[in-house]
Amino acid sequence: MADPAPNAKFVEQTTAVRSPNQIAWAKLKQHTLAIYGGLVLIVLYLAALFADVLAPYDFETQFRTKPWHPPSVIHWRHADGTFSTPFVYNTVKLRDEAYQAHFVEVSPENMEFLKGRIGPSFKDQPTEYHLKFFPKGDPHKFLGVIAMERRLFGVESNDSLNRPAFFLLGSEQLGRDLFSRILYGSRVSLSVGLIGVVITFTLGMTIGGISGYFRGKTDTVLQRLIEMIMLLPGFYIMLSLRAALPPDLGTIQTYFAIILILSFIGWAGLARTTRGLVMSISQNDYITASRALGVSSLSLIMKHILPQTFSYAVVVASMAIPGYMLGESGLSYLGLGIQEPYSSWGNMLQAAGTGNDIKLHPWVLVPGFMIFITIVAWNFLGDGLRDAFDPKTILNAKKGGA
Amino acid sequence: MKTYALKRLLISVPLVFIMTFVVFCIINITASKHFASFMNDEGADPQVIEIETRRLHMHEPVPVRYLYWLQGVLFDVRVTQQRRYIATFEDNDPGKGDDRYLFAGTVSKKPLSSVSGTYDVGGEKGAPMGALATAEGVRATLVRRDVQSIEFTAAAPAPQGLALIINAGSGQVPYPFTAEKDGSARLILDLDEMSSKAEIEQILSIEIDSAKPEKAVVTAQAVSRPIWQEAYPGEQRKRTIQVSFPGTPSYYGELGALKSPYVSKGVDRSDWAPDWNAVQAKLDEGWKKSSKAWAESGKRGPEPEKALVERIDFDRLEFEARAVEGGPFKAEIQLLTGGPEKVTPVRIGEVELGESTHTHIITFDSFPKDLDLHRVTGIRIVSVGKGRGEFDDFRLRVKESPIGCGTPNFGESWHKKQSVLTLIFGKVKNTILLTLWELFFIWLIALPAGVYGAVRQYSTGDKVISFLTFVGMAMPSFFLAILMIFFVTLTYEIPKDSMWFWLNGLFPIAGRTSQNHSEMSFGAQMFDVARHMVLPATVAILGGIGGLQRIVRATMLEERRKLYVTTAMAKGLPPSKVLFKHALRNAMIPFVASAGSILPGMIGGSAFIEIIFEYPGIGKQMYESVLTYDVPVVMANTLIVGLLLVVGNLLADFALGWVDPRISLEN
Repeated sequence: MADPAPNAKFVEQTTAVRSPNQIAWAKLKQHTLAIYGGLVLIVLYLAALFADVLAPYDFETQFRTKPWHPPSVIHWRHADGTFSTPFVYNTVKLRDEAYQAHFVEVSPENMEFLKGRIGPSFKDQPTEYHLKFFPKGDPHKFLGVIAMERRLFGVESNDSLNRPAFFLLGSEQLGRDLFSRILYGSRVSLSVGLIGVVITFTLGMTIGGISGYFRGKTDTVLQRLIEMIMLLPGFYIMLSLRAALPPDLGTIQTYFAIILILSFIGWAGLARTTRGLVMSISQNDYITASRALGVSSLSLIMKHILPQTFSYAVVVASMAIPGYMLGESGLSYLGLGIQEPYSSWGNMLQAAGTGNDIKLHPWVLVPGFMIFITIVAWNFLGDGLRDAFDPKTILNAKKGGA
Repeated sequence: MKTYALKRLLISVPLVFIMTFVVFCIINITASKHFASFMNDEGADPQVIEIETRRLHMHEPVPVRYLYWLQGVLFDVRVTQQRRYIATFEDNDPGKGDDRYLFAGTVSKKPLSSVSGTYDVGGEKGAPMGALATAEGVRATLVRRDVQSIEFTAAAPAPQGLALIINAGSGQVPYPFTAEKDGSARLILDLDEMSSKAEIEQILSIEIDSAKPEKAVVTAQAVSRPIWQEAYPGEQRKRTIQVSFPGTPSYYGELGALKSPYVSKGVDRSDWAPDWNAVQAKLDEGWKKSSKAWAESGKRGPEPEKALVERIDFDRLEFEARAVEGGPFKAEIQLLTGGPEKVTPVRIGEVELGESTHTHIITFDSFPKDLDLHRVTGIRIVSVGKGRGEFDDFRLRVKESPIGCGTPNFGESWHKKQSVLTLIFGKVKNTILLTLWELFFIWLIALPAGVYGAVRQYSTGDKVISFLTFVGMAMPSFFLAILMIFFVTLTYEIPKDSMWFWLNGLFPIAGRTSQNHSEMSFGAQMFDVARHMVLPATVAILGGIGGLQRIVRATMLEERRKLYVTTAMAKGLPPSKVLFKHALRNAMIPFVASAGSILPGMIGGSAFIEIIFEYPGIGKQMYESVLTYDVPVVMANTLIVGLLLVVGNLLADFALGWVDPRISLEN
């Protein structure tokens, strides 16, 4: 950083005083892993936002002839060896002696093999289906408003019998594109944490703040309430609450029900810490002074106390989000959350029911790794934020990984 | 210390009950609706639903139901195995197959007006329906639920005309027949064939009318079609008996013979008023015969075991009763002793029947001293005034050993039809076993790893450990479990000649024991349980280490920066002593503090793991019963987990006070 130049005194005088937030930002920038985590999260959340365009297919589009299709092989050369834009061949499903299904490309070198093996209904000739930007695909509403038919990339075809498809990450049981479903599912899995944390924070900060500021009987009552909620075994309450809801709930309702359930469990811990913070802050002399000056409680809380707890809140928020994601994906994995045909990363993992399933179609594990990556990213970012807002860490200290 | 513990318990225990109330309300939002459909699924008739509804208090509002539950838990303390020794009404005819129920009525010599009763036939195997008697005629009522046909035989001193009257929804259908002296008169009613005459589903009752007030013995055997037994094999349902007392003074209903109050190995159960010595002699004789045969056969097969008659001493009679009509009124309970020829009633007590069902207990202290309980053959209820009472679940209770006392009554599982306590006791044990192992290994690994990370900060080892802990923390437990199952499936393909073949199938992916667990030796059983626990425990440990290692590392780093460490170092203390004696002890404080929150987390967290690995623990049980709206099981689970959490937190606080003397628990 700033080298001890001979005119250091001069530099010090002219440098503008930096606000705590500026210092924190400077510290955060030093935390490499946090920056990487943040970048990954930005990419993931942007992908979720633009899932309609990024996904080559709709989450419901089924390729009935291509269940459990492995990721498509992308070719760069024509049959004669000359380079071309990337393309895929159509595939047909065949079964071997052990009745195990596998897919064979309808490519020039496979034609000899395929002759006699595919039924007369397949009149497939080796065709190159080129990957295009903005091909015509399944209709969707871009950002929920603009009706569109174009997707970012994909193959175009009008065959109805054995429709060729481009599966970046393979397909699942009903022949739906895994990549598209992951993108659509990320909308659920990624947003649950954000919305949940917002609700938790409104509840936790308000109740904790009231409890810490007013003390006395209010505090006692609220503390008992908080203790009770903290005593509730989260998983059990989650299950009971979910079971109490009618099973034929719509997807949107289920989604919000899950968020509410998770927030209901989560707010108490935050309220307790906020209370402690508010208590220690309100003991400061300047609070007493402003109270003596006749500042109303509301503006005291809003102007002087809450802003001080804000940095703490940001840190806890980034640390809490993974918990919500785990809750949602766990419930969905057990079949209590988001229901088919809608996808979430949790319910997509149901396809990995047995070890054999995974051995035959390892690509069904991708949603699990997506959960993992997202949570790692949040953890890194949270770690960095905590260090950044912690006044004890020194700005220029050599800070390595984690 | 003591006052602190007391204070904590005073706050926490009511909180646990408030919490159970919250869960009770939540689960009951849809449970009531589910209850009705669940009863209908079993093909129960409306009367049975009505009885069950009243028995489970489903017609009451939720808070009242909660109070009933609380009453059961707090005050209705019973022995665990009580239900195994319920004295039931005995099958007097064991030779004729297991699916026969006996229905015997005798005309009493006493001048009484008619008495009628309602019998729910779907009783336990071998449970007869009881007997009722009148002066004018026998009037007994059967509620049809799963009875296929009813056979009647009748005997009378002189030929006597009897009529069997089917009361169906469409009217009465009489079946006259004559009781002969030798009892040869026989009438078989096939209820399926009868459906042309009377709407079979609407049969309300079957009555037997006698023209003359003379003694006749009518024996009915209702052959049941065990509908529910197919759906729930091996499960039992309770029998409900309604006895009505119309008319003028002194009426009584007899509830049939009690099951012989002994449990025996291979003894003839028809010996219903046993002479214990004779029974033992008979058993010994049989044993001598079979061991002789065994010796002659060249000692093939298992050696016959000597059977011993096991006497069980009862000390009280319990039953549930309420007044259906005309209540409240008094009823006298009599025990009948002696054989079928001469019945001697002995008064044992009087109960007052109120509007709501109450459990009445008559202790045997109040019994006449000369009463031989092992000769008790029946119970007679005599009412003093007019009314109609409902009696349910007569049971003779076993004399308790003091150890068996104090177990709360959580009721009966709606689905499994067995005591909740026996259902979940083993599950709680399993979960605690698993959790303790997990905790042990998490501490064993996380503590050294955390200290290492702090001492050798930013070394390669620290970076590797940091990376692994981040992976462990970010990996959803169910995803880790999926991966584990996948890796174990891979071991199935290790060929026999490979040096890794021992791995093949070493770690089972589901359950707690192997199928042939009971045949193993003790050592093999231990190994069997241990290897079943490996996968679930590994998943939990990998998830748990991460967080704890980070905490230890961070606090240890913080302590190292403090001045007392510098001072100690400057004084020339060896670094290892400074680290482990001074810094580590202080670093342990948040570590121990977090232990209190580990236990709740582990119980909740291991639920996922239990479900995926099908480990029969409390979490999996909870999951299943929540999905089936099995309210008693859910409630018992919640209460037990809540209490475990309270205890865990309390222990953590004490541990904290022990590690950090600065913390005073008194304030």
